[in-house]
Amino acid sequence: MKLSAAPIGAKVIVKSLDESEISPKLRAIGILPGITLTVVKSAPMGDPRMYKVFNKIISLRQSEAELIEVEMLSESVIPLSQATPGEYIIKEIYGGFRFQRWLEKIGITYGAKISLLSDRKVKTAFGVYDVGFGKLSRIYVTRQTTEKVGERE
Amino acid sequence: MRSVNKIMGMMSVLSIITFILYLIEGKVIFSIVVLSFLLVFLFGFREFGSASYTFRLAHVYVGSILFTIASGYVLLTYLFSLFSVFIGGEPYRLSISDTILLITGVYSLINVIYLKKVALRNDK
Amino acid sequence: MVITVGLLGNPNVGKTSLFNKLVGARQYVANWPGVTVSRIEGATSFREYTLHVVDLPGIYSLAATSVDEKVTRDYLLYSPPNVTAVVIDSMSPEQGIFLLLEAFELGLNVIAVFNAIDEARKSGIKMDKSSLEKFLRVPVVLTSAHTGEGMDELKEKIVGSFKKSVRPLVIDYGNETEDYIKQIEECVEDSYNKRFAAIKIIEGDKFAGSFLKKECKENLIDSIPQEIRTSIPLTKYRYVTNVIQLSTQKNEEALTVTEALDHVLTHKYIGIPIFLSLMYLAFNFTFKVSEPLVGLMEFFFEKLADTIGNETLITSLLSQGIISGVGSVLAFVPSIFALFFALGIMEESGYLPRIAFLVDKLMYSLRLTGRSFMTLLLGFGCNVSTVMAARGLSDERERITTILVSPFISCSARIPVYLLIVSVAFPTRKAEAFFAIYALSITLTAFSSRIVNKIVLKGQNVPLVMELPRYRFPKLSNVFAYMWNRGKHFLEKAGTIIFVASILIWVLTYFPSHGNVEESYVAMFGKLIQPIFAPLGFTWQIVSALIFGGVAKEVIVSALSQFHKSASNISIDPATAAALMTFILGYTPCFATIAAIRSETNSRKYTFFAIFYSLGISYLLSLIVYTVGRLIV
Repeated sequence: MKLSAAPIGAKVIVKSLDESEISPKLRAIGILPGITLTVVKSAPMGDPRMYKVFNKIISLRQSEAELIEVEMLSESVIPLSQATPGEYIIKEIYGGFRFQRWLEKIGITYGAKISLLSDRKVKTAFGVYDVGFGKLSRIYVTRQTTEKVGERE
Repeated sequence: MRSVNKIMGMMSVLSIITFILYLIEGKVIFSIVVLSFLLVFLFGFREFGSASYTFRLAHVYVGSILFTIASGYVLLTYLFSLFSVFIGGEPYRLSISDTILLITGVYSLINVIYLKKVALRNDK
Repeated sequence: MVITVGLLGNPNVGKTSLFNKLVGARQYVANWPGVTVSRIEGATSFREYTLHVVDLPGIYSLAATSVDEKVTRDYLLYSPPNVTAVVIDSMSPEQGIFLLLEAFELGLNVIAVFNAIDEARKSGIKMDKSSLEKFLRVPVVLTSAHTGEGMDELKEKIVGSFKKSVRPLVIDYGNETEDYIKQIEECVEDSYNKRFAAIKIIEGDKFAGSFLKKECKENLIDSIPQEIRTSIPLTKYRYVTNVIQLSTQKNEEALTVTEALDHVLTHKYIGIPIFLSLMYLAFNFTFKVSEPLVGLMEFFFEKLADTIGNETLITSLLSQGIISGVGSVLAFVPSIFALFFALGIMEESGYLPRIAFLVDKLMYSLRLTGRSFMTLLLGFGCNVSTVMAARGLSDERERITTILVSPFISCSARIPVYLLIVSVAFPTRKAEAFFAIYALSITLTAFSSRIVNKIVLKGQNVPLVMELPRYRFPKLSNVFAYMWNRGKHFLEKAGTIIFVASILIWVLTYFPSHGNVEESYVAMFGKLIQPIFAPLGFTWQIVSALIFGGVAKEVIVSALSQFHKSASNISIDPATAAALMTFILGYTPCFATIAAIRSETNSRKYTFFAIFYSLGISYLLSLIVYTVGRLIV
């Protein structure tokens, strides 16, 4: 995916850069294939966004981030609303007591393992639920890395 | 330390009072400035999640810095107006809201120093 | 014995603080030849040596894609200093060490300076000096410009490096890339360091064409595959990460001060309100502080002028010409210095890039970046400060666009004139009139920005790609140095112009009839060209007063009073008043601004453009306002 599409909080690894006027500058500050970047936060209007390259924070416009092809690392903590279907572990819930209570009832709690289905529904230990985009954006998860016996990473 | 919540509450109260006082005195623009700083504390209450303590800390720390700046501004305005006495003008008069702001400012400064020493990792 | 030392490094590593600590007040600012990039030099004595230090522009790479990088690269290439100290930020060393490796390829005599070591220590980072020296193969110093730690050792190692230089390490880029390098070396002119030139060409140095032999130029640069281009910085960074891993240790992650500040200051909802409030406080403060000082000086000069009197030619020249000339310059001084003080604090604290970050999306529609927002904002105080502050913009095209667009920003000197007009023509509508004129000012600036962008940049966008450094408590000595350097520049350039123009105007008003303003050359000239302004409803008095406005806009007030014999005689009808305010908004930048534009753009073409473009647009707009006004009223 393009760096501009990576969710806030994601740790990504750079795959390639589209050649442009700013490519030499991007490479000089360390945005190179194989290097890890973190999406730190975005400005109030969504553009530009802050990225961490090694130990420096660099801000890039979305149009500039679009030139960078990246892949998300599994250890990223991202909101469920931005995640692709798959297995996840709940890491963070951003909401007050009522929100947390409501989620608890359907099986979404810290550390719980859930599946995100292709129709945006969530499968928990208690069943399949339609949680809604707004709530999904307040539930942060990390990819479940399944360890199978005998398989090497 | 749950004292972060206490400080946040205290600062919210002090700053709301300051805001209302400025409004009453008719200093609309300055009251809006105070409002935007006070919102820092109010938004702090909206932080949830396991990292909420650290984020609330951030709100209190920054909000206190902002109030220190605001009261410093009022103080310096007063001090510099003393110059105009030389050309026969009058120095600035400190109103009630200004005084409350200065008190808030002192409390904010104490918070800033305390929090910096105790809670924030130095990358200064 | 003189040792020349070049300070090379990324922006925001504390290079300038280190420089200030090394040379103290013994520094001066000049220009790099042919460009408007500041060259800051200083000197300090150490044992029997004099260290002549040059603070080079902060850059990320010697593969030049901007003027700053080119200037630095050229200096290091053509007139290298005896010793190059590469200043690296201990808290974020990777990009700095990358630059260090590039400096090796230039064959320079290098030492590595890891600055901000006190901060690094406090945040749990441990740097092993001997390990760094082993892997980088150059002398290493750990310094703190803040506490002064390591300064003596720095001077020692500079001298040591001067006496005995070390052979730098050479990086092997792998067979494929090395082959390409050899190929390109064939095409490099003999007088250059061939390997360095070849590597820069491959990396995409914009100005590398000058290295090549004529025969080779054409397709060579474009035909290099992307993997090869990328392999060079990539190999360097792999080396960097290895060195870091072997020589440093860090422990993670409590909330840092910078993260805390950014969490609130760039907050989705409250970031912008806080910014607006801080700006309001900053601007109000600079004017509140400068007002009493200006008042004091005006008072003093008035008394002086009155004492001398103006009966004879000489006394009139002295009191009206020279003293008021000096007075006009000095009237600018407090606000210019105050504005630069405010800007200095914002830059030193690290807040300035956050402002750019918050407003960049908005600036995009002006075809500029967030960086120029603050620069333009200064224009509401004084247009000259915008032109001079534009030096801080690293992109040359952005800098020129910002400068050319600045005259439409309504500076504070125009306020007394607006006040006069408004109280005469529509006393009950003061607030609306002011609001309208400021709204017009902003609209015109935005509109001009698109036009200038088409001309200067051919419609292209300036890229952002901006670093957000750590926040730091602004060090007053640095802020004062910053303020003084810029303010002095203003005094030299604009000050002399204002002074000369004041005297000139005095001459034109005094002659030919010894002080009778109505029959002076200015009045004659005003009456002569009045017909051009008749469609705008301007009388000859207004036109003549406008001529005075060239020196400084606020002079229009006293000029108008003089032409009408007294302020109370002035009467202007609403339509003319509106047209006049519109005209004053932009008709010509004041002489100080014109002088600044000329010196900062280095081009007569742009200066004339600024003058005639403003004149043209203002005339047209005023015409429209007057015509419409006449219809309504």
